[in-house]
Amino acid sequence: MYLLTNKGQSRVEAGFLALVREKSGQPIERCYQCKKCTAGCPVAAHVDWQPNQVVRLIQFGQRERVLRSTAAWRCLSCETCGERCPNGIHLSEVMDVLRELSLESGRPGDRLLSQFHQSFINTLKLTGRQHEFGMLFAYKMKTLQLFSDLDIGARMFAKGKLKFMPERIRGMAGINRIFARARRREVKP
Amino acid sequence: MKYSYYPGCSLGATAREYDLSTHAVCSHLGVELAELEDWSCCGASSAHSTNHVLAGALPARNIALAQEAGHDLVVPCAACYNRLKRTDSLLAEDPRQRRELEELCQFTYTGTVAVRSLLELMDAVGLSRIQEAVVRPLSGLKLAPYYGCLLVRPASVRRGDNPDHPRALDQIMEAAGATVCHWSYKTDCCGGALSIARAGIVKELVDKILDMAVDAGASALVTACPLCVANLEMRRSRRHTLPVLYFTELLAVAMGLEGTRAWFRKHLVDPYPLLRSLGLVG
Repeated sequence: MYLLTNKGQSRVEAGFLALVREKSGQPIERCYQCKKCTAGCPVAAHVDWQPNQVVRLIQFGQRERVLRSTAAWRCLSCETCGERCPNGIHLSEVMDVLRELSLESGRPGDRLLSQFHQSFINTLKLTGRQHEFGMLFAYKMKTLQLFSDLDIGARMFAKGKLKFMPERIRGMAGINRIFARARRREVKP
Repeated sequence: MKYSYYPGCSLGATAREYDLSTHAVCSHLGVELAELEDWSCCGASSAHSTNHVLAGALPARNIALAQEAGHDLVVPCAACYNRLKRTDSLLAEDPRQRRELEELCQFTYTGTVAVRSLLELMDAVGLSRIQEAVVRPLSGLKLAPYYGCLLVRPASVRRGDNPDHPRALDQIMEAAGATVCHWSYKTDCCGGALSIARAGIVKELVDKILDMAVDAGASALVTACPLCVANLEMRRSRRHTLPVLYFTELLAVAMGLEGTRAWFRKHLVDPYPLLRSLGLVG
């Protein structure tokens, strides 16, 4: 099945709505495009597909378009949309699912943001706690954003706000177990 | 009153002054905070953005520790609070998720330990108790109370307060003698989650919030979120000079506690000149 638009035809992936619905637990099919979500979204002006459009694309099984969109990665998870939706759809839960699926597909819609979150997770995985200095270093090396924010970083460091050494917790066995499960993704959403 | 205390990663680093002022104010109010033994990172926005197993299990591990310690868990960071509280609600309400998280984090959820934000803790202390402790009212200080997103949304994280017009922080600051401005941006998101990777977008959001606070007549913002403070200080245009303070710092000033100057020095925008011009600090 194909969807015909003024930009040509694109394949409808019939199971996509059901998949996102099941993983997010959100009643996506109820959306009637009132656009309250987009009206209140702080980043609506900075994404390729606005929140209400993302919902429509999911309803139409537009998997590729949705997963390659910047929308999910730039979502702030501030829940303004979920609070206002007359149909009880918590879009931030949907965006979480889209981000995770787009990582699995290997082509996240905003590479800087996906790298930032992965650097954050990889740092805490090593010691059980976040270490901003190490995390920022890893992020900068991965994305080659080497010279951004050096001035702020230096001021933070001078004020004793960036620790040089990470703290390692004792219960790393528990953290390792959690990360091993996360890799296998056995727990259903 | 004794509580377990979950500082989270920010309070040991970028939000050091929040940690120090929280301890000073709580001990002055007779609240005992015992750091949760061997706590780990809640995963913040990066866990739920990348992997649903991490999103639930990283907070659940800390809830398990708090249960063992046996006291309600106080969480000053709005992001940690949001994640821990949501996971606590999940454990209480979703039997399937609960079984899976119990198995993964090796504990049995009892629901006997509550997750509380610092604002909720102040609620338990009571406004009258706070008012009694004020020796140097914050007269002349006009504040824009800024809640941000994480303390008020979704519904599972807030108790009672109105999602668009929360009052908890307003009331605490009024009890300390400050003047509270009415403005419409108190629960708008500052964009903290994008602060590192998409600074350009965030600058627009931050400037808008600061513009609105200035319009409302505020001479400073007051908040209970370390990500908001870092973001609002870091990502502003040069034209903005408005300081951003933790409510605990201002309570400490009003209570006449020692050591405030050292906390103010840690801010990227030093609030000392403003407070000094109003005669609130020496």
